[in-house]
Amino acid sequence: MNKILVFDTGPIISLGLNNLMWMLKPLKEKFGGEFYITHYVKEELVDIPLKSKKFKLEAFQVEECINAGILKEVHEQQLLPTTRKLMDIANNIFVANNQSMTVVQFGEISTLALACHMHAQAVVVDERATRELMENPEGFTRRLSRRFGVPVTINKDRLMQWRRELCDLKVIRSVELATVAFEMGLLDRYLVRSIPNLVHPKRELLDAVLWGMKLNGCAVSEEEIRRIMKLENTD
Amino acid sequence: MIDTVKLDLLVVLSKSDAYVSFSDSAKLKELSNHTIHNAGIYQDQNSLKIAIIVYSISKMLERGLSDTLQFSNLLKEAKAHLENGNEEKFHETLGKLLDKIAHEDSKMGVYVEEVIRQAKIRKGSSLIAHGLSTGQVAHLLGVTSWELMHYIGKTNLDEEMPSLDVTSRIKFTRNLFK
Repeated sequence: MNKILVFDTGPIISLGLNNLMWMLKPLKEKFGGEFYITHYVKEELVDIPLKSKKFKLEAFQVEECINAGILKEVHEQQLLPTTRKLMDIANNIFVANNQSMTVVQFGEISTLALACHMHAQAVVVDERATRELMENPEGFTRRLSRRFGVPVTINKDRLMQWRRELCDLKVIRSVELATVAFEMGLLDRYLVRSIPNLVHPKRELLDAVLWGMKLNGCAVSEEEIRRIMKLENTD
Repeated sequence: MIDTVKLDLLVVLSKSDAYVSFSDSAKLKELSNHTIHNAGIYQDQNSLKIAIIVYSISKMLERGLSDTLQFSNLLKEAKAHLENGNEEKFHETLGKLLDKIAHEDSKMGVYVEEVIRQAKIRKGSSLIAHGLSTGQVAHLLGVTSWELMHYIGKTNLDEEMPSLDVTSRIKFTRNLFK
């Protein structure tokens, strides 16, 4: 069976903003499978920023990865029915003031639809709404309720449908990818010159990468970063 | 327009006119946060526009905007149109307010529409904190996911998030790359 990871917009942005797009190639080689993005995600990553000044250079870098076949773009024509169905379910799970809440968009859902369709090993999602919707909808409801200051209820039928459609799809983030890249030694290239006053350069490097991801949009808490650092035990 | 939203917007327009007259940027910012609730629940574009307008004016006041009369008049005009149920004219006036902000902004030596852009990203970040996805917010506000991700990383948005155990997520990822 082919190994597959499907990427949402966020992790590519986190990697791009940290100048770590190059990491995808060796990661993919080690993975031994394919990295996919949907056409809609490609539009958000490349086509839209190419029309403006901001993040235009980053868009070129993503395009280079697509051209090189590191990220493969899938046109979602065949996925449209599944994507629409998932959109309809997801955006009717939460109800506030007798109104269904639209919480996710086509891009994110098309990623999930593709991952389900291709029986991917996991989706790579950095932004937290989609992830919470997949992993902890009850907690998500509490957050919506607290933030909007109104009672938010769950449409249980829709939630059951949602869980059934997603078939236990697993989620990882760019921080996990970066941690594995670190363990593989991919980031050692940054340690070639000794930097004065750094007692534990490898430890500092991991800290730098994880914080870089966090500061560029990956939804990861400080506590999680601390736990990863402890887990890696790089002293 | 949903009645609850309309009533809320009338109050917001009324208050924002008063705060603009007193050049009270702090109160205007608070007010723009309030509008975000309707924008999030009902995905109401008018609420979003007003949140952006009110936030932008507050930023311009901080930067030294002194001539507030025209803003005040336009806010009154918008309120009157909304009260009379003339939604077309109401939208037109919101457009005039956005144009006026862009014009004043450029006079203050900032790139045209920069204040509006920043307001969109700030309000977008607030919507993400409320629970909407980055893609949905980018779509609602007409900004890019790049801009939103770049901004939200600098906020402490994700400190409150109860997450799945990070250790098992790392283990799972390791296994994928074995």
